[in-house]
Amino acid sequence: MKKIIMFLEWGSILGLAGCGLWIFLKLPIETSQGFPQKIMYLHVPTFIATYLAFFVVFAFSIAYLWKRDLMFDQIAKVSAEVGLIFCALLLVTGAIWGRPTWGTYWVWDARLTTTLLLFLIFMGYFLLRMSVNDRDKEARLASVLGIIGCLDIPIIHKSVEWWRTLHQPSTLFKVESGKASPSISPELFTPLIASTIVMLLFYLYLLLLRYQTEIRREQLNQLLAETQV
Amino acid sequence: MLIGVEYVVAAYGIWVCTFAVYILMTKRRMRIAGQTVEAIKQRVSESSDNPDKTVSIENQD
Repeated sequence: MKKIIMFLEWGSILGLAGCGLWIFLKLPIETSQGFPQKIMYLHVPTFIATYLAFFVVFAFSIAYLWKRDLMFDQIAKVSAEVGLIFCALLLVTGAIWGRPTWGTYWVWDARLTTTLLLFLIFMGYFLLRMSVNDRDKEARLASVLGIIGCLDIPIIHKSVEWWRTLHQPSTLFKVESGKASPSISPELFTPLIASTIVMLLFYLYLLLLRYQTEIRREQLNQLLAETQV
Repeated sequence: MLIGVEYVVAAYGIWVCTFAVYILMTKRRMRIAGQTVEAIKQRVSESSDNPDKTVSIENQD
C-alpha cells in the first residue's frame, strides 16, 4: 500500500506540474475569454473529481448498509472528506472564473446553487458523524445521509438543461443526433482530458493517504477502549 | 499585457495551497496516530510484564 501511495503521489504531482507547463507555456490564448479561460483546466477536472468522490461515497454507503462492514464506511467517510475539499475548490475556482467572464463572482443560478447545496449536505454529513458516539449508529446514519446527499449529483449535472442558467452547458461533450462529440476544439480538448486523468489520479492518491490515516485512527480508538476496559 | 492574470493566479494559487496544507496535515495526523499506537502498545506490554506498575493512557493524542 505504501508503494502504491508513493507512486500515486509522485505520479499525480509530476502530472499536475506537467499539465501546468503545457497549459501555460504551450497552449494558445483562447479568443473569446482570453487568459482567464486557463481556469477551465483546473475547474472542469476538479468538478469531475468531485463527482467521482461523491459517487464513491454513494457506492460504499450502500455497500455498508448491505454488508455492515466498517471498512466500507471508512472508505465512504474518507472519500466524503476529499470530495468536500474538491467541492469547496470547485465553488471557489468557479466564482473566480465567473468574475471576468460573467461580471460577477456569484449568481443564484441552478448549477451554482445545487453545487452549494451538495457542499452544505456534506458539511452536515460530518456534523452528524461528530454528534453520534456509537460507531455503528454513526456509520448507519452517515450512510443514509451520504446516499441522500449523492442524489443531488444528477440534479447538478442536468441543471443546465432543466433550467435557464448563466452557467455554460457541458464543456466536455455535446450530444447531437444521438452522438457525443467534444464541444471544444481538439487543441483545447486534449490538455483538458490529460488534466482530468491526472486529477483523478490525484484524487486516488488523497483517498488512499487519508484511508491509511483513518485505519491508524480506528486502531488507536480500539486500543484506547481496550486499555480502559 | 495579459488581461485577467490575477484571476488565474488566484484560482491556481488557492487550489495548490489548499491541497498542500491538506496533505501535510493528513501526513502529520497519520504520524501522530502511529506514534501513539506504538507508545500505548509498549506501555501495555510493560505493564503486563510488571503487573504492579500502573498504566496511564491520558494525554496520548
